[in-house]
Amino acid sequence: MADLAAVSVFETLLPIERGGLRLTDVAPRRITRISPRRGREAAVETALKKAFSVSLPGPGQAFASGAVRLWWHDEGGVLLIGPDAPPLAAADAIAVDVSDAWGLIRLAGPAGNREDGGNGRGNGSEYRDGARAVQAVLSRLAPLDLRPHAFAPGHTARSLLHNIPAQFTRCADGAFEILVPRSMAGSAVAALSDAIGRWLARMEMGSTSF
Amino acid sequence: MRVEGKGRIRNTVSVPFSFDGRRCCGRAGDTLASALIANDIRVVGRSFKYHRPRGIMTAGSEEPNALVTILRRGGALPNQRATTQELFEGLEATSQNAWPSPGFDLLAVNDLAARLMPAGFYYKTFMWPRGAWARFYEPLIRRAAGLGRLPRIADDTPYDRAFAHCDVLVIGAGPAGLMAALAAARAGADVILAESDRRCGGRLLGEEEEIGGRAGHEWAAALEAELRGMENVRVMTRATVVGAHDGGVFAVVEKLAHHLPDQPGGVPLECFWRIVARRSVLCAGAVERSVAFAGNDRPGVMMAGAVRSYLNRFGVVAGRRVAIFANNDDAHRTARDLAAAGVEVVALVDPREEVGISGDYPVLTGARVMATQGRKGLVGFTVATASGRQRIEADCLAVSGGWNPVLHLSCHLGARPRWRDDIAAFVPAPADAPGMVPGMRVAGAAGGSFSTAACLREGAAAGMAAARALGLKAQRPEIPAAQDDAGTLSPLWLVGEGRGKAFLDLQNDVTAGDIGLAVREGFAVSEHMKRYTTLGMGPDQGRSSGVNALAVLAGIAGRSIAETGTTTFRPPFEPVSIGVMGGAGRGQGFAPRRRIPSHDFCTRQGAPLADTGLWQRPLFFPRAGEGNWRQSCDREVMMVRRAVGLCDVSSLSKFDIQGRDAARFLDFVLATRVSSLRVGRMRYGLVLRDDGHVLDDGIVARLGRGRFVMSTSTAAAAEMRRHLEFVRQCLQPQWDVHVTDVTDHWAQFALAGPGAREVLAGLLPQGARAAGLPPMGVAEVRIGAVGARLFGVSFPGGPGCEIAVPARFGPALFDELAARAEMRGGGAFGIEALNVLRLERGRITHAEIDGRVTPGDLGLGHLTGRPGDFIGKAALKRPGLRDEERGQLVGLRPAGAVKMLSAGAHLFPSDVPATPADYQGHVSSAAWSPTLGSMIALAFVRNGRARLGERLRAVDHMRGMETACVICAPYFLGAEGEMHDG
Repeated sequence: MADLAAVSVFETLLPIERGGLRLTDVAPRRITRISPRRGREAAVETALKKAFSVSLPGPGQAFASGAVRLWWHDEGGVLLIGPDAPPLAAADAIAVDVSDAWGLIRLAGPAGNREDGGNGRGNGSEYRDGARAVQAVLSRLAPLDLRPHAFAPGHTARSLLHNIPAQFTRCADGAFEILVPRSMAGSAVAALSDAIGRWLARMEMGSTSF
Repeated sequence: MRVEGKGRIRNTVSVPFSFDGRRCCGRAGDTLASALIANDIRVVGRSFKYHRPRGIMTAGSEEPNALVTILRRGGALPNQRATTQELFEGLEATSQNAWPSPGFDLLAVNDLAARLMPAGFYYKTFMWPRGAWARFYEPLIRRAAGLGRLPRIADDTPYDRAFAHCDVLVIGAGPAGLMAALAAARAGADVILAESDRRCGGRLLGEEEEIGGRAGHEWAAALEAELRGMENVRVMTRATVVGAHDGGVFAVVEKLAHHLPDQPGGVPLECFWRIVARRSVLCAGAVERSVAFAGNDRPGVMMAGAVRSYLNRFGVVAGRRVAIFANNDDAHRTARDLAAAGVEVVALVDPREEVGISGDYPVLTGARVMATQGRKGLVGFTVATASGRQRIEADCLAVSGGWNPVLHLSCHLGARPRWRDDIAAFVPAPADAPGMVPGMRVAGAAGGSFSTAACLREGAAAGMAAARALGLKAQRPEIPAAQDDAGTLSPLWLVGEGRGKAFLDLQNDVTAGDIGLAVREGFAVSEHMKRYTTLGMGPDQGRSSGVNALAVLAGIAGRSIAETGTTTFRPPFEPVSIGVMGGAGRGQGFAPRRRIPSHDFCTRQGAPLADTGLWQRPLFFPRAGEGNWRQSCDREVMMVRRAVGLCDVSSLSKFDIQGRDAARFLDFVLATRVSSLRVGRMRYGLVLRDDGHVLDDGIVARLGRGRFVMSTSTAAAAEMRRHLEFVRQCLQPQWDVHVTDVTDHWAQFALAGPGAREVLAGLLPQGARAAGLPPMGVAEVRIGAVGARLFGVSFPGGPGCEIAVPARFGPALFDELAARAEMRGGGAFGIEALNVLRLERGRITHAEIDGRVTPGDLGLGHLTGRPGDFIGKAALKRPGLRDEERGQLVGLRPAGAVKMLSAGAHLFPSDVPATPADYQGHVSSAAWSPTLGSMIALAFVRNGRARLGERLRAVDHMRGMETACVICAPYFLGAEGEMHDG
């Protein structure tokens, strides 16, 4: 028979642009959960460095190099997002293909994404810029401390996006990448879109506390 | 009325509004209360129980009387405090608890019948006939007594919710809070300053006093502007901290649109914040308390500080002839400010003998107000002095019995306040007291320091200390000069000599006499007194009455106030709407919805979807001419039995389990042995809790020597995942096991029925081989270029298999399989048919695995007899789990005239009444089997396996149904245990 057609996670849901904020589908080609065997972390790290020039992330760390992302993911595992997994000796690590288990959403502010996140104040037009807007939207959904010094670029955390289990990573440009289960992609986009709407409504009212 | 030249509302823009239909005008910057006072409206509602006319009492959120309903597009908002409701153009407010109007209220007859309704009267009367309380009396009393009415329509008002994190949360932005925020912010801390009012300043907004050589409110405005200009400060106004919770979490309700006319859709009315703070500074100030004397609830009797606030901030006064009755120096400022503004002060009544005051108004020392006069508003009052009684004509009486620190938040984790005799008030417990909010400091009036200078000093010190505790370098900010004398006070709680009701709690209509009655009835402990009299309940939670009531209680019971103690302070500090707590978590936002890969197919086919856990699964696929679900379901069942059916089973959880110790791990987790499984084969297994009961069931497939995939139920997916991680991380951390949840990665579809093989054979290039997959075999195959897995298992029973592909290919594969099935007279089926199919074969689901059953109960005890340890094994040996009288899984069929069986029915012997003593078991699942032409059911029956053929009676009390039935084996088609091989 003919090849089966693939349907992407956010097929009809993304992109969305509202009030200068953009939600887009990162659409990584592959996602692999790599779980090093005990005591073999160094060998895994060597293989990853050789293949992608990235180190093995510790808890809360997310490394990126070009289109390659390597995120800490859970107790015992990291996610390689983007490329195919490098050849890893079975004695060193377990690699499981989870490409279709997740959707990866990028939430970015308007051009610039200045790293002046701070504590959130100022007038609306200023605030619409950059990382602060992204932070204000995510603070309506996630109980994480997203202040730049507590959640700097390269930091990642598993938490809730409203009531959806998700993983949040801050990128170097101040945008956030949010990993959500494939089956909940629709609810995740709805929650993000709703939060953007609530934040914009406050901006239009001239609220000073976001 | 307005007082010329007074008030800090710079704007004189006229704002029209209406109260009880009467058109009025206020000014921009007014609260509803100040606008009502400006319009000389004195009666704003009727009291809770006696329906006495009541007027505005305070200028803050502690207001007990002026609760009104605000009409909004989305429905009426009841119990809004007029004192905090900001005025806006077109505001429509109505009074509460009055019919037909607050001026003439028919239920005021309650006041005349007061002797028949002492505190707790409803506990003693209305007890006959039995049962009439709940059905008749209580609804009647609740209608007569009460507050506003909730709208009867669903609330579709949008609410916001958000999280924030900071180093220091400063609660309250009076002089202490402003200084605390400044000190902490200058040290570099991330500061959130939360203030209930729309502006910072606290008491300074309503006082005539100077700070650092300028007006206090101007000083506050300048400091607010400075703080707003700092990068590390977030000033939140109209935001009330309503709860202090564990882990430095504070609940904050921010009003966003209460001060605005109805907004276009999407604009939130309020925001519920969860603020996580490493340190907090409580600067919530103090509230003024009253004195109980006869008729102290008459409209026109107000708090002295409130009279000052209305005069100085809003430029309004509630009378033309104002008197002051106070036991403290602070209230004398009311007389001073009124006189300076040109308002006639008719008397200053002070119970103290020696008072150093001078003013251009009569001062009566050693005097007390005995009673008041007036019907719908104060016209005068009687004063007792050493020389006798005299009557004074006045239309406003400003009362003060002193100030109570607002210490509520400091008590939310269990701390008890301390009594201080020198200021006659409760203050928060010390920072190291048990139950005190960790990391909280208290400054200013909230801690009992009432002078402005003390507030500034303490605020700065607390802000610095909070910053230093976080390792920051803090310097003392310059503290401006301010008034440094809090004055003196001589406690006075009750003027007992007068005739008439002396109210303590105006919101709940509790008088000093009621406290006496409570003590006589034996309710002399503060918590008992509260329950008996209802004092301190309702929206204000005793903020204006609590301490006075405790003092009166202490006096009657002959104890000190310190010994009497307070009642318990619990969150929320202020009434919070249920809507804002729900926030975005309603409707679609209540829970995420998980979509199966064939979701689009289901909606295209018009299949109704049902929530199974978070998953949405199709109930059935209706076809033309089918009028109800049963017709569709029956057709789908017969389609599977005769041709071929297709069902999306992707929602079942799937775990990839690998590692050197994977088999050992599964042996430990499952009651069934897994290590003996050959590669390429599958086995059914039960997962037990450590108490020996079944947690879940599932299938384990061995893909390689150290490589397994385990599929368990949809219902227990979260528990299973938690369980596996707990075992891996905590019980056997030394094992080499790697568990990955791959539920979402795989789309998995069940093909069932005699045509399943043909459908599959056409799809797979290696069709012949795959179709020859043995039962309970597993194979990795390819569909075109896509890697797939084929499982030789059929939950619906009979010939069939399951096929899994990466989820992105799921929709295409399902469409393809459905089309191929339809060519063979089959098609997709939903979970209604799946339920019938599994019942026919005696397959269990979580209707059976309800958390109370053991493997033995399910007839699977033989699975657990193996050697080696597994979770739950030891507990299974307990006699209670081996008892033969436990409910055992059996089948049931109807055996009488009634042919209906229902899940949830209880089973009894045929010949005795259906009483608990003769209870035999219950029906767990029931369905109509079109294959057999009969209802069939699974049930748990005492010692059921030994009772096959016995007749029982199924009684369904919910549906009023009784069915004679006969016990049979727990499967209706096929042979026992067919799925358990492999």
